[in-house]
Amino acid sequence: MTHDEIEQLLGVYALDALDDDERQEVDDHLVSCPRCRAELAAHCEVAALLGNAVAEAPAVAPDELWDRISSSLQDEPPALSSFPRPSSKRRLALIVPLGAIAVALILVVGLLAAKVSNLDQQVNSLNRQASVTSVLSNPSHQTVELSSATHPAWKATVVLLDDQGYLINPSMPAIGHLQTFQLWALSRGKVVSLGVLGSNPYAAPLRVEPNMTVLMITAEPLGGTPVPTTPVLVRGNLPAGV
Amino acid sequence: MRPEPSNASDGSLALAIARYREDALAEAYRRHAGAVFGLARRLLHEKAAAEEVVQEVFVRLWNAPDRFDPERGSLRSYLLAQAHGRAVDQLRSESSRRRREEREARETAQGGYDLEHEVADIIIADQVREILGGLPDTERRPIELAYFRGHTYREVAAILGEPEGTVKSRIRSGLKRMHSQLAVSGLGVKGEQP
Repeated sequence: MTHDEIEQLLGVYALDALDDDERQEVDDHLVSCPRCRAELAAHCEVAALLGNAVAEAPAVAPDELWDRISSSLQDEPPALSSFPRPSSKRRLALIVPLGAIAVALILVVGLLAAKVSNLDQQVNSLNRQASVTSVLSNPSHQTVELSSATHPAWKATVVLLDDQGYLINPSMPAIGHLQTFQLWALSRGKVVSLGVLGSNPYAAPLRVEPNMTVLMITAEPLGGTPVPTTPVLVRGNLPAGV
Repeated sequence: MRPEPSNASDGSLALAIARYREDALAEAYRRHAGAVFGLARRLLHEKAAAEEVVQEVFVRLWNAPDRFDPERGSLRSYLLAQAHGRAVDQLRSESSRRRREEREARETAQGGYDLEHEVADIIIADQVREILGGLPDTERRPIELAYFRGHTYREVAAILGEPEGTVKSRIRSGLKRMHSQLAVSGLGVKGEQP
């Protein structure tokens, strides 16, 4: 679709009235077109006011619903998050004592601690490998190929089972030691971070959500950034209805 | 000392939610769940389905609080947009689509389904209703059918017997017109549309 054709769809997009195939095309275009992003933002403001105007009617959510929501909150956060957040509600209470023990161990047997950490990484890596294998052996898994329009050698594959996935077979350019790969998704016209991948993203876990349509990887300053600051290295479209 | 969620701005509420403060999520629920439920119920007509949308929207806010960007609008707008998207997805699922068609056929048979007064039964804020009502019918009707009935623009074109291209450009021009009217009336949109 041309820029003009996409532009014609922006109002429809803001009202959630596009079919999935066209929505994906608009999503793709939005990544590189600030003018369309600005127009869409204005349409979305109007849509929000329409929603709010309906909602102004005295609607009251049922009392028991909060109890259901509260009890369904996951103890575990998403696999990767760019947000600085403790790793889980329950684990929060354990951080201090475990941290103290770890510090003592490092002080007393630094070398041993380093070896333990190395073993931890190996166990972690084996666990991830096992998870990837388990996804691949499930017949209903889906794969998403990420590729580069300019560098055929750059690619990666995401294997997905429902909303959980792993990045496998990354073939990415070398990055500086002060950089990290970062994974992004396009969700309803907005680029959101799916997490910082480090310099070797093999078997990095990820979680996709229903509105996400495109996955992208960039190289960012160490620690990651809230929005992409460098060109997309590889990208791929998520299958509809993930 | 931790600030009380009841006094917190939307932005600090989202930050507190990101830090696993369940009382902050409870406060967001207290402030906005009624609105989210109202919109979902308006679209889905069924209490249980609307509750499911409310639950999904708040659980998602808990799991991915960084998706809400205070720079881009209020927390309520964000939650309503999420709820609209989820409700529309549900409407378009096969079983809901069938139920909706049955309901619309029934309404038509009873003489209650009247395109001219598509939103006459919706209680919406007066100012927005006025601005929506001030649009030419050719723009207002497709917007109402798409947003309040959850139809795709192709379905809207079929319902109105208009070409798809006409429907999408009228939705776009109608939204632009509403945007400038809303900006004039000070209803919270940011200045002129690009």
